[in-house]
Amino acid sequence: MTRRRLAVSLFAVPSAAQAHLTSTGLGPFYDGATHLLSGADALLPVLALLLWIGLQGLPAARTALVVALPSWWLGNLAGVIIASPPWADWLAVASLIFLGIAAATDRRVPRRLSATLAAVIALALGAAQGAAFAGQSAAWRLAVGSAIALSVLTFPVLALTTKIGAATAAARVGLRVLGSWLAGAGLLWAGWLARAG
Amino acid sequence: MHDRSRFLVAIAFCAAAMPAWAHVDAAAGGWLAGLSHPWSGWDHVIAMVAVGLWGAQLGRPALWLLPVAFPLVMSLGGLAGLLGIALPAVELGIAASGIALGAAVLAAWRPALPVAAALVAIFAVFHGHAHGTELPAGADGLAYSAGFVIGTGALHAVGIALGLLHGVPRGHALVRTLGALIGAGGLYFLVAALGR
Repeated sequence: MTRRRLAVSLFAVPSAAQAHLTSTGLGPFYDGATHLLSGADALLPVLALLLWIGLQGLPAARTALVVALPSWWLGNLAGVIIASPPWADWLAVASLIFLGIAAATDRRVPRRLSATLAAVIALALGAAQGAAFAGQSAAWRLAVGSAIALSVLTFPVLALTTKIGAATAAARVGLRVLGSWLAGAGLLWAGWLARAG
Repeated sequence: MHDRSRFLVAIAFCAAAMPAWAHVDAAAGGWLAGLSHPWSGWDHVIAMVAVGLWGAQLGRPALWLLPVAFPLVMSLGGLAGLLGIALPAVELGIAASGIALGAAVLAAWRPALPVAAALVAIFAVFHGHAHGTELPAGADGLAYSAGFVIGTGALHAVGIALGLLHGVPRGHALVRTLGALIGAGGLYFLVAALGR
């Protein structure tokens, strides 16, 4: 009983920087759909993930996509139910830094490893997203809108990063530079969060 | 033809360089505020342009490696500044970066890549720390940070564009002259920092 209370308490404390919901005026589904685009903290880690997956090459990207997208949906669902864990922002920070550096160094890893990492990170990012909707009156519709928006975003972005990464050496370098910038932004964000307490 | 292509690419980069935004609300904390922050002081600007210049002089892979190393390590320095970790003689370090990088461009110094990257990284810490201590409190830390890193990259791109001129006739002399001007600028800031 004590362990369960402890586990619940860990998830019940709201994180310092809660994701902000944008009201489109079109209803909760569309509010959820635009949520991903409403803040850099929601969008950039996802872009970093898609960048890294794309750099892994087409076969690995296909595999990673198959596991990452459902993982994100699952995480989104879990986040709505469990509400906001206090470490949600730090998880996004860590993902951004790790993925940015991974993209910058451009190391190809075995397909299983890339798929596993993609799934775990997607699960965590999805949970952070879903947690933003927890407690809202139309939480499920927000979450569904968000999940569909992510799915729609994923395919063209991943197609782009995979294509560009395979195009020319210079294009690939451009993606690696982008990865380094994302990691840099993540480092500064970490300092920002730490300063905000 | 090759020289002409380089010249046209350089002009395109310069034409695409963003103007410096003045009087951005320091407390806004948004993407645009972050984008403009690296342009906020000439001591920062000349060093970041020098990194691009030097990278272009050294050629691949320094051409992209130095502008990757600088923002990344700068962000580490920024993190330290945000956390309140003290770094001595930051202003002197920034001024020294202008002198050293300007001199490297002037002399067309071609050290081993790890040496060049290490030198750039050392100076990046000072720049990052200075920026980190002066970053405003605001609502959207990541958007500001992303804009800040992109703004830094834009300055490197300006340096790279100018540095690509070294491949055209008399371009080599022009680039080295820019290096001399940057070095002189660094010297000015060093004197100013010592005078405080």
